[in-house]
Amino acid sequence: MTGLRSRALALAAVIGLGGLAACGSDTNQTENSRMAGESIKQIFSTFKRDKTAAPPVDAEAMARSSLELNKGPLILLSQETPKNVSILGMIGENGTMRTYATPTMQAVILRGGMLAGTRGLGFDMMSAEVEQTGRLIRARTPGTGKKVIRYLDGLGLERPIPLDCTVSVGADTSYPFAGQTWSGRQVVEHCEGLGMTMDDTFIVSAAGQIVASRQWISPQLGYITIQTVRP
Amino acid sequence: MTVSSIQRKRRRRAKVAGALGAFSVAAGIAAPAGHAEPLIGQSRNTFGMPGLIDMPSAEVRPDGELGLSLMGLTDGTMRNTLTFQIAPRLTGAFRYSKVPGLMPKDDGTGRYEALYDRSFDLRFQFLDEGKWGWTPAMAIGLQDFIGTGVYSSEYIVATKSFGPKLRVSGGLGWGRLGSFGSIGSTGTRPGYDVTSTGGKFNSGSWFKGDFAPFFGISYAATDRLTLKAEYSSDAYAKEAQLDGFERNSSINFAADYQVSEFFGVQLYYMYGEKVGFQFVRNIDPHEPPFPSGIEKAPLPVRPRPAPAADPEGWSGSWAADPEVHPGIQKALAASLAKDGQILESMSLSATRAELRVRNETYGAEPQAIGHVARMATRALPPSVETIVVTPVQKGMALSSVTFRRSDLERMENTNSYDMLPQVAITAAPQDAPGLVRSDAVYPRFQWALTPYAEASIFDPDNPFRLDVGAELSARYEMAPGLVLSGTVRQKVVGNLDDSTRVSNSVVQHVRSDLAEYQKNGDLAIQRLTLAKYGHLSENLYTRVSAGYLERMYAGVSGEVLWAPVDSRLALGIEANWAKQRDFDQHFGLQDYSTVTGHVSAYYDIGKGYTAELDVGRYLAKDWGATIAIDREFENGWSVGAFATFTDMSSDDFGEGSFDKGIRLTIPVAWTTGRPSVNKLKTTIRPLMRDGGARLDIDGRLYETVRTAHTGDLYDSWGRFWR
Repeated sequence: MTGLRSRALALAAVIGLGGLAACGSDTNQTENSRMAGESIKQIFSTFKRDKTAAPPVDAEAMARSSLELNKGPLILLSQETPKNVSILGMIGENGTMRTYATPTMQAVILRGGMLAGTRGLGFDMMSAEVEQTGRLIRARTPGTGKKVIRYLDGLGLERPIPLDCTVSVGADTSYPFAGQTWSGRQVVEHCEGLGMTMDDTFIVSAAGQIVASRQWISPQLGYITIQTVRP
Repeated sequence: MTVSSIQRKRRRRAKVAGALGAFSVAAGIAAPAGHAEPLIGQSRNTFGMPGLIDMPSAEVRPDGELGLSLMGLTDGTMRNTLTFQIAPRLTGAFRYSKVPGLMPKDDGTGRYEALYDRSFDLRFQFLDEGKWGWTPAMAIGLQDFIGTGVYSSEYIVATKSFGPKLRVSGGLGWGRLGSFGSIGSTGTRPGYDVTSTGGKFNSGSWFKGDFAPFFGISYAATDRLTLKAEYSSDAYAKEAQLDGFERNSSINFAADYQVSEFFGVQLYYMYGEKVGFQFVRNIDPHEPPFPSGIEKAPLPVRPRPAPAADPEGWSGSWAADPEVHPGIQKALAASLAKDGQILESMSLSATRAELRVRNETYGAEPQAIGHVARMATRALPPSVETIVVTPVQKGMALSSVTFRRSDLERMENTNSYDMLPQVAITAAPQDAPGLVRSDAVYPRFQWALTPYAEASIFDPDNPFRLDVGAELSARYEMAPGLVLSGTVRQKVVGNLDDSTRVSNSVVQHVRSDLAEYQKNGDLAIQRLTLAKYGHLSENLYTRVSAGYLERMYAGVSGEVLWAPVDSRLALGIEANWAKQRDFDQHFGLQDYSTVTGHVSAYYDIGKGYTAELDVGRYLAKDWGATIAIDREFENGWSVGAFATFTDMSSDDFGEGSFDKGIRLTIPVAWTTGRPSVNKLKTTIRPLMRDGGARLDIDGRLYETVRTAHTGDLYDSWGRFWR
């Protein structure tokens, strides 16, 4: 009987302590209990339905204010799953490769405007070989080419997905965004490989710049839309 | 072609994960044409193994998967099983069961109570389905082959698929599985003896005695629901004789429902009157929640300007300026600190820089090294072409990874395995000329106050007891490799002190008094040690620890490890003088003291298997050897088993006959998706006895040193550009 009672007490204490934050300067020690606390919170939060809908995002306003705050190249990134819009500033440039990051250091890597990696999202694209179709897309020329995208598998090993791609060219388009009119021609890249298909779309200026695009990251994250705010 | 349940499982996974399902199938299992795969079964039997109801099948689980199944029957039988798919065709299990009415009560009444029993199983699928066209999958298995033998049986079984949904299994069983409807006999089999100490390999009785046929079917009604029926060849003879088990029918039924890929429940209707329920949790080390990690993006490489744009930087003349090195070192130290790494020391010349860094954040060392290398490209003047990153732990330089800066610039964010051949991984000398220690790294004090929980399982009186409380730990690093550290626990609530079990061990109680220690939770000093780590030569590492080494022993411990940076083999010697501590775990000591120590060999067999052999003298002054085999995954998971054989007789050892167990390591980063160097480690010992016991010393060398040696670096190199 006492065993039962004290077990119940112990359980209550575990739940209580789980919610109690560990403290200290040694984060490698406090991590485990923090983890336990978080997982308990997670279990309970699955029973709570989130009733508050996210407020609509004014991408235009975000872009305008970032232009004032930041002097370097900027892009607006819209993630479809999970839904998220953010402004990323360029934090690195290496040849044609540019790395853009949010203030909390989630990053996308573009090679000549083609998505060639993401960082810090959890199901990231590690790297991509995009030169063949990238050349066609920027030249607004139809054709075919090969592409390789690499991911980390569950063991942390890099796994390549080879893709066969076809580039086709559509109509010209023009639209205003963040105080500027952007114009270019629509170019579509259709890729297939390992049972997957993806259709990336681009708006390419006459000068061969990708000014906007919708590109595929990974099976879990799906597509992102990238709009140039400041080239 | 067989459409097996793994394909069903994959289809579901593909639905859930979108195209990555197809990706992991195609990329993960790129089997050559005509290569048969092991037959995977989704549903488990009451013993937790892939199978029918009480009967086994020839199926396996996905390679590397761990499974926990909890099963209860209405008569009070419980079977809790941990399974591990050791290799694609080899399944192992450890089970803790409650068998009602099989244990004679020791109160002299002649009555019986429940028997709590531990058992181990092995099954090998020796024939793939469809190997020669129509052939079924076939397996041979041993159930309860080193325990006391209450579930002891052996079997040969075949499973054949008919279309994607129906599978038929049939086989011949010995032991329990040959006890009903036997059709013949192979020699004699010793009867089950409840009073034996068990633990010995009962190989003398394998495939001996009566044998009987069994068979059954499983039908996958939907992706999630599997219906099963079987004819059981288990007579439940002992249960019927001693506990009045009624066996009214030989036909059993079950319905198995997969709630998700990792959770399953199952309902059994057995022997014409019993109902059973099973809960299953599968854990696949290959499938973490976030494969690439939720973390901050690394700082990118900063390419050098053209020589014309920075002639002074390219000339190297800056190296003569005494202000430059300290300024760069300070900036790099600050940047690394933000990244969770410590720049311990650095050397800088006009063409070469070496950064000695302690990684306290990333479980995969290449990720940490990749961050350091990229940060270096942002801070070093252009004439520095050689960048050396030297991982340091506990003051020991573990290896040196040398980069050409132009490779980093040229290959940033490309195939990480293209980078690997461009780097040199070499032994690091403990001190290199020009190294300047960073300011304010030592002395370093860290502390943490955290909750703790300690459980006691496998106690027949109460199979689960628990204490919870607060734990205060602190580390004071006085100089590189010189650490004073300690942990104190204060119990808040719990029932570990309810235990009334007293060790019946006839030898010195070097471990079996665990319950006495667990009863004392008031300001118990878990550890309090001063440790000095050293690096004698490139391949030799040393450790000396003194103080309250562990909960049960105080003393002095010394260790030397020979571990070349690129060697599969490492050798160690450890010698300890240890004195038993008082149960209250304050400062007092008991009378017993001993000299204990081992010569150890660690070997990376390849294909993810590692072996460890320790030969020496154990705590109870017994001499012998421990052999351990671990299956290690590239992401840091490991599952292993160990056994110790010493000159202590099995009678002296008592129940279990020799020390054995299984051990499990799960990287914290695997479970959370966030970077971490921490690992959750568990050792499950069916019994804690006094033979073959070693000191439980914190911070042994091999585990520390290997993290930055080539084996581990190669395994996790995919994270270099993370």
